[in-house]
Amino acid sequence: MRGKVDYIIAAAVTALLLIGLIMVFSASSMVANNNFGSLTYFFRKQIIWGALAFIMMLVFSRLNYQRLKDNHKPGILVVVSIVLLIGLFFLGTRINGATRWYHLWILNFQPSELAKIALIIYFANILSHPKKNLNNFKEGLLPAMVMLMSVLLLVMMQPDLSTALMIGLICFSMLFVSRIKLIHIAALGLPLIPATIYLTVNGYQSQRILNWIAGWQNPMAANYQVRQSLIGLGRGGYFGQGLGQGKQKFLFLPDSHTDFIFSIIGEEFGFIGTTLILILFLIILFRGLYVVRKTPDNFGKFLALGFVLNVVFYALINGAVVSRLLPATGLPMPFISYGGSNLLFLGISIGILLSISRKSSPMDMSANWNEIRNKREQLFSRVITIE
Amino acid sequence: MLQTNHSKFQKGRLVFLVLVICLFWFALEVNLFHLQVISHDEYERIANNQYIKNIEIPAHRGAIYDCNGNVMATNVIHYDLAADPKMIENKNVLAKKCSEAFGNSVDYYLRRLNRNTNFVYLARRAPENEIGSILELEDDGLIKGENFRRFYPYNNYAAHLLGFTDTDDNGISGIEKQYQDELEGKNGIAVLQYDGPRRISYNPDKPLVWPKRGKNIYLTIDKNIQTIAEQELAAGIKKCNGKAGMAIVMDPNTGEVLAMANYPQFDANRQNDYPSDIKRNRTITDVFEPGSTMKIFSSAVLLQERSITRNDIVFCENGKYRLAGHTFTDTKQYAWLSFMGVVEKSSNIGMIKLIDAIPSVTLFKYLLNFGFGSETGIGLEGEETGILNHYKNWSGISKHSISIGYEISVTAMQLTAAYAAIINGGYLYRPYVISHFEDENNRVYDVRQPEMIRQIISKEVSDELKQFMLNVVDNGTGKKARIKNLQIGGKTGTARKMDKKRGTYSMSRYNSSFVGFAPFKEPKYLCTVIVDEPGASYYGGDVAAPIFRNIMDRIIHLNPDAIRQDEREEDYQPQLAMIKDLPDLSGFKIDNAVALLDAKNIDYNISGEGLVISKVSLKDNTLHLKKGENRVTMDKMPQLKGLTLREAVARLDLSKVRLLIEGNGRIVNQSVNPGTPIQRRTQLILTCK
Repeated sequence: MRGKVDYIIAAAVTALLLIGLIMVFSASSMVANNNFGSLTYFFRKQIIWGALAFIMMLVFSRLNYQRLKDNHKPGILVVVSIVLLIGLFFLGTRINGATRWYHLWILNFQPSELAKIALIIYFANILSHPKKNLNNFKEGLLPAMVMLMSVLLLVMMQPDLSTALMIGLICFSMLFVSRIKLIHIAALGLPLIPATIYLTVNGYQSQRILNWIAGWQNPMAANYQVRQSLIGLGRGGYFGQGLGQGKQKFLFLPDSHTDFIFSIIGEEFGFIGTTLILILFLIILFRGLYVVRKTPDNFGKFLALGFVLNVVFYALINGAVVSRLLPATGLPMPFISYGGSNLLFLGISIGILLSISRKSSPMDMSANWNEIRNKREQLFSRVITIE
Repeated sequence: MLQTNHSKFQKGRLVFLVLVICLFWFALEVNLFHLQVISHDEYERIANNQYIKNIEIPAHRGAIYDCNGNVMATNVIHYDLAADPKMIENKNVLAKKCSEAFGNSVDYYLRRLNRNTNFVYLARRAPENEIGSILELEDDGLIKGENFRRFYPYNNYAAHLLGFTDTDDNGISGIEKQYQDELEGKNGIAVLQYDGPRRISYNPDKPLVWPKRGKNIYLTIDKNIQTIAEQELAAGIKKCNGKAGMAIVMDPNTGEVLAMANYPQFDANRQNDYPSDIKRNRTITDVFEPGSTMKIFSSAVLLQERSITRNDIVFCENGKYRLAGHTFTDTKQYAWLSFMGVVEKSSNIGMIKLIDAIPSVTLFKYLLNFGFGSETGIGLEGEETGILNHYKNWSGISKHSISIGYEISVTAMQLTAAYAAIINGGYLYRPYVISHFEDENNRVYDVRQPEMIRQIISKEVSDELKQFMLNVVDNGTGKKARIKNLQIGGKTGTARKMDKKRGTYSMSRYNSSFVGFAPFKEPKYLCTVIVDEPGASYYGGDVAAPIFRNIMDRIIHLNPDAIRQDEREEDYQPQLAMIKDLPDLSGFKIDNAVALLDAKNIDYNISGEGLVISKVSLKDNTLHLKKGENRVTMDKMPQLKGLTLREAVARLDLSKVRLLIEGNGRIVNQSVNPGTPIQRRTQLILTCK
């Protein structure tokens, strides 16, 4: 491979990974000690996963993402993940009333993570495909929608509504910036309305919404986890209580080292700390957009955008949930939250993003070649259209 | 460029998406700033509430003891019974036991125990003896909270003095209130740390602070004497159908208050059940006109000023005497009474005529010295000073009224302290009820000693007055106070109460009193009994004296040594009663006097030389007549009011006075006050009517 990766993205991600490592130790030591009798139980695992994710990032940044560009490979990847999602119902491990994981050796593998990445690649592929006219519904959008809806339905059935919503959000955002007519996207969104209403009225989810509304009026009426999360953030002030000085992790805040780790950061490093984290994600966003702009090929553009959105959406929505801006839902904070497969797939996707960034770098010797190929493709497609 | 032309992106939409993301990012920042910075203090407070709990460890309130170390006020453990309905194993058993203990129905408790909550109260502040069977239950869901609560083992006794506390055990009356700071201990604090699942851990930075108990107070009150005073006062007042009353027992030699009883009584353990106006300590807060008990002080002045001796006689006007337009009366009609007789029979007219010899200022100063018109200094809150007007504001009859106990208001404590001075040799002691304090390490401090304020009268006068009081009980108005085989002294008092509406003295409402002491020779107990508005009979001698007798009779037997040294002579006879009918024999010719005495069958002996009797004294039931010259020796102006001219002249040493007589009949005024020393020939104008 030629060209240099985008060091700013790489640095931001590495910084987040290191912060995450430290914060996982700070936030998890009490839970770990309580449940496993060791302060470093989660920390040790997180070191391994963080290292693996970093290695994955390095490896994938060296691979040529163009190899993913194929009429079949992305589709096959999605189909495989659909099969894995179906397999969950038979072989999955049930944790906390939801079947989301395969328990493999020491790894809890979450197929929805794979499905998400597969769909991003798949959408990048079809949206950038020179031969497909996406405004031709039957030929262009229908198969994509079938794939997407199958995945969303299977993820919802786990049940894992938040992941399904996030996958939907990312895919629709990719559709939104493509050349598809807005009216088509709106039409695609229509079935989501009754589905949303159903889920809202349906007991468990509507209770969440009601709790969320109550929480706005009186923080102490919010559900326990959000309340504790707010207390943690609120204790922080400008500069926080200091590393390790947080008290919410003394089993007050459930999931303090996973979905709600942002609250612990807020408690120990204050408004400055949370803002710093959010700025790092903003850097990834704008640097990612820079990569998108500089990337010569459309596939690379869509793929880079998909992966950037994957990170930024998760970060912002996790922050919003933790700070009660959105109703409580279980989403990890990218790179920071404790987790195995999630971290691994994040490493892979950032690796691919970095690989794309090589193309956009001025040192990229293959730029001309790409331009030529693009031209050729465009000409070719015109020929077809003429035919 | 070619590639942009053929971009699959819609740039506008991408910009829009990025704008939405940035907007959301900004909203998130604003939200975080609001949460973390603006609401920081509120969340910090909420957080601390769930991390730390300060548990107060209640301190023992100091106890109150009597002079012998008997507990008069202490603390007992009461239980707050509560239950966690989700933990209770056997609800039926608990409900049944609660129903038995507290009276509500079994259903009532079952309903409470089936509530969907983690905490229900079953009973609050329940004493251990009521809930013993519930305490024995071993049920994880039963919460037995221990609390201290003030407890007065003697319920009613000395309740007015001790006072009481509110539900939080803060003193709100009496000694409990006055010494709140001393009695109140310092609560300890245990700082508990919680974690998420509410597990408690110890915080090494905030070690447990143990509670400090309050200081104990030791009173001079003797529980046994207090008990007797309370019982007998209540019984006596019920018997005479009185409205209220009080009794004080004091050691006259030190001013120590041994008992302080009030009626109506109340139970300090259930003080809320009683109206507030019966809870005040009347002995220091209620002022009244003492009536005849005051005559002892008038007598003290007369004796101390040497204007008169006990056997000097005065004509008592047969029960009616007009002075400056005001008519004074006696309850019985007396003609001639000796000074001692005046006190013995409690003749108002006799005392009024005798006090005339004393200038107002002298009387006023003596009364001030006896402590009237000012606080006794007993050191109890709410003490009244009584009313003693300055002599310059006295009206023409004020001196006379005051001499018999009107136009002056006193508290029972003032009266008792002043009487102590009368019988202890003339020393006014500051009365006190607090003996000493004891701090939390059982170290005694602030030990109160008897405090002599001043000497008012001489030992001789004091002895004389004791004799007067002995006679009151033996021969006079206080006969009902007599105790078999014991010599006691006392003085009765009966005062009409001022009708405040009409501004005149009531004809039906009285204040009856008796002040007495025992044993006679070395008084150990001085006891004042006041009955407010007795019903049937109202004389102090009939109402208060029997209560005094009952109290003293029991008290004196608590201390057998006191009696032994004062055993009564078995053959003792009361002094002659006839003396009351006897005129003042001074100046009588011997023959006439002897004839009179023989006719009345009175023992007498005569000594000295002369034609007329110069001095009469009564000793050992025998009248001693001393013969002398025609004229009495006169170094002081005698009392002449009420005498006929002939009698007056017999008493005067005409070599020392130039006599001028105005009018005819009995003498109503003399220009030189009785008791005035006469050194040279003085002009004396006698006004007769």
